[in-house]
Amino acid sequence: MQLKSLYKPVRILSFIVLALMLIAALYAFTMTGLHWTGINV
Amino acid sequence: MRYKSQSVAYWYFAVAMVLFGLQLVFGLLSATKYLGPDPLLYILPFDVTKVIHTNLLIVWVLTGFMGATYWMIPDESRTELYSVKLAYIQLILWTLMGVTAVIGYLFRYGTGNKLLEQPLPHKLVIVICMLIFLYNIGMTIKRSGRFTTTEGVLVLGLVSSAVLFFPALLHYENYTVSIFYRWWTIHLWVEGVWMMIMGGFLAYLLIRLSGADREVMEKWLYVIVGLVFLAGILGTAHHYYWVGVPYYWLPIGGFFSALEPLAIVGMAMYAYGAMRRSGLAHPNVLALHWTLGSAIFTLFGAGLLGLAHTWPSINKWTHGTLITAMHGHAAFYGAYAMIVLAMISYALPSLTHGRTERGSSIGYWAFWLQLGGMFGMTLSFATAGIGQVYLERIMGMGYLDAQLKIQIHFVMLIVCGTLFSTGVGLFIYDFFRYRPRFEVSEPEVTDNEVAVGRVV
Repeated sequence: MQLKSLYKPVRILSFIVLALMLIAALYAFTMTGLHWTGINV
Repeated sequence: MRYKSQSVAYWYFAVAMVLFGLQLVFGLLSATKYLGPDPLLYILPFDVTKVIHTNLLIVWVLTGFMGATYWMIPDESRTELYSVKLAYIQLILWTLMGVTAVIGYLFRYGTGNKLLEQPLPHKLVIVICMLIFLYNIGMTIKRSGRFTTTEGVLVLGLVSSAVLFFPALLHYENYTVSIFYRWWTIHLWVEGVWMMIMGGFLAYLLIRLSGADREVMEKWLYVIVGLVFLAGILGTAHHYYWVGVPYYWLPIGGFFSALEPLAIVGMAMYAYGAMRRSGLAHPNVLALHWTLGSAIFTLFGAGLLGLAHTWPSINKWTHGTLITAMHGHAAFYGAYAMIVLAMISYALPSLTHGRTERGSSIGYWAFWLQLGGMFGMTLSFATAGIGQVYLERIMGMGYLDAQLKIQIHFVMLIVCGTLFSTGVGLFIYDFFRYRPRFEVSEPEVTDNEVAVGRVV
């Protein structure tokens, strides 16, 4: 019972998570740009 | 890998990696909300993203602890796990619990008790998983008849964690009473018994990576256990300062929580001493980076930054501000995230095909980017927190007005958070880059080999 066949689906899931991380970072930078003039710099 | 059943750890680590990545998604979304009006306000408000961020942290770190234990116990007790099947059942139940809890939070299904938001059915599943886990570990050790101090401290930490989860099952109408008992779980976990778990893993890794003397390492473990019982338990009082409990908690919290860093200093000292004595001969230098990094970052995040605001006279101003977030991020990352990543880095060459023992350049990039990113995030929280304390608590400015004045620090937080996320992303990519291996790669240990000093 070693669940070898699960490697591929979990690996695909890891790429989805990596993509979500990238989207979250891009979203954060986009919001930084949009709010730049309102931020007390 | 000396025992086939150790391979079960791979799947625990894989689940932990996926949840770690998701945790950062919600962390970035939470940080963004400090910058201005957020289009996601009514879909993913701050309270939801923050709950998911903190809960995923606890779940992935515990998943990592479980995987690392399933790796370490057979190695220490020199036997196969009692039941691989039980370990997989536990992992499936645990993962389902974690995933459904997160989905539930998206629909505001939770208890509202900070860090223990899981609804009662989920908490009961956690109890079942812990019982399966402890039974499996206990039977493995019992069957082998070999019980080292290192695994003794680890098991004591795990059993205590399970016992201390029970106050979390109870519901209190009175908010002060609820907070009073909440810390019996949260504080006694992260500043008490989890330190034993961390100490167990740290000793295991140092013995194997640096060739340090087991007897010396295990004596330090006794010191850590003693300090956990003395300072860790009574140090709970530093959460009781301003929550409606009697005044006498102030001196108790002030004195004993100031002693808490001693255990951490002890850990860092023995890590450094071991490194100097050993000559660093082990080929897995990447795991050694994570192991020593964990001890040093714990000293910084938990020790130094904890001490910075634990005194009642300072905590009066900083309690519940971004100064807490500063300490929390650095302490949790150093003590628990890094030690799990150290165990993964140590086990991974044996658990996968084609990976070099020394580690890849991606692995080193992951290490340094995470360290730099987390250091920057800690400084961002610190600068924002200091501003917040002066503007809001000392000058009396309103909460939202003060937040507007410190917004710039959240730009720095997002930049450093992205740097940190890049490091984590590389670690996750590196983890899944090679196929898992489920065959034994090293011969089993015999008593004769131990006698001649070939194994520790």
